[in-house]
Amino acid sequence: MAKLEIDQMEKFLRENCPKEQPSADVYAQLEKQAVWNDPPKPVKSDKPVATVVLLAVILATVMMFSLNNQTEQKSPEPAQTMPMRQPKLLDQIAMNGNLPEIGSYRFMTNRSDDFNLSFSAETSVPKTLSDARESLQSLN
Amino acid sequence: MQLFAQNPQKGFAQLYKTHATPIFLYLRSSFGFSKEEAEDILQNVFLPWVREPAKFARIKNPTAYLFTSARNAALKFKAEKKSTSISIEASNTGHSDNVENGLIISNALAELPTEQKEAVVLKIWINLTFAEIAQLQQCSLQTVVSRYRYAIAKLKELIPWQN
Repeated sequence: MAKLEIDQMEKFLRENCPKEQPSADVYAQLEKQAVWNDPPKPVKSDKPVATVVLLAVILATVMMFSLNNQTEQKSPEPAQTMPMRQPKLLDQIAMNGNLPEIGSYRFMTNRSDDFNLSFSAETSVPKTLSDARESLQSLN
Repeated sequence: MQLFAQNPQKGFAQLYKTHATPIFLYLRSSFGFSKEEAEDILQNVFLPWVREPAKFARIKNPTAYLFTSARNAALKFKAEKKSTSISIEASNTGHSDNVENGLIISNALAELPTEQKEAVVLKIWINLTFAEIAQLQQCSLQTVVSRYRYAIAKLKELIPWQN
């Protein structure tokens, strides 16, 4: 029994190359999963979605119109109720003989002097420069 | 690759016919995977090609690409399984011509480090050049040549010559 030389070893290995092959199932599985054998997926249609959206828009519009009609029918009522307050105020004036002494009115009447901001007739403001000069000379 | 770009189905059939057996042999002999494990890895290597053929139509060197994919998948598989010492039985290695020689070679190869086994298997059985093996193993040409020489020398010691 001798040891193989390198060249002989290479030859020996080459002659004894394994002949085993992968089973055909591997290729079959790959073909099965291949993109060219995939059944085309059903294309999602936008029509049903568009129909639903359209219906929703129509329903919303109809609802808005009906609501507007309802509010228009109810709108005269507040117009009738508003003037109802006025007779109460008039009754109060009629009873007191004057405007009701409430709030700022009463405050103003009691302390009218403090709010008298009108200027006296004597204190005339010079309107021109010559007027001002004359008034200064008269003071001196 | 032109055929694959033009007609992926026919191109893939040709690609598989050319490369499946060498890759299978590489996985079985270099990494010591069982037939089922090697077939699983082989399927994973080719699966992207059939799922997204357009992505692979521009690859210029499919041999290098496929062997690199197979090597990465094999190393990942081994790391996950942590089965670094898988013994190869002669009945599993496909040496149908001479079972006895097949058993001797398998046992001898099992004694070698994976990189040296790869170098021998890829050079002698798959006929890759040292440059291609270096690219695959991501090392220098000298390293591959050294690995190959060490492997052959070790096999020379392990395999007795019988006249």
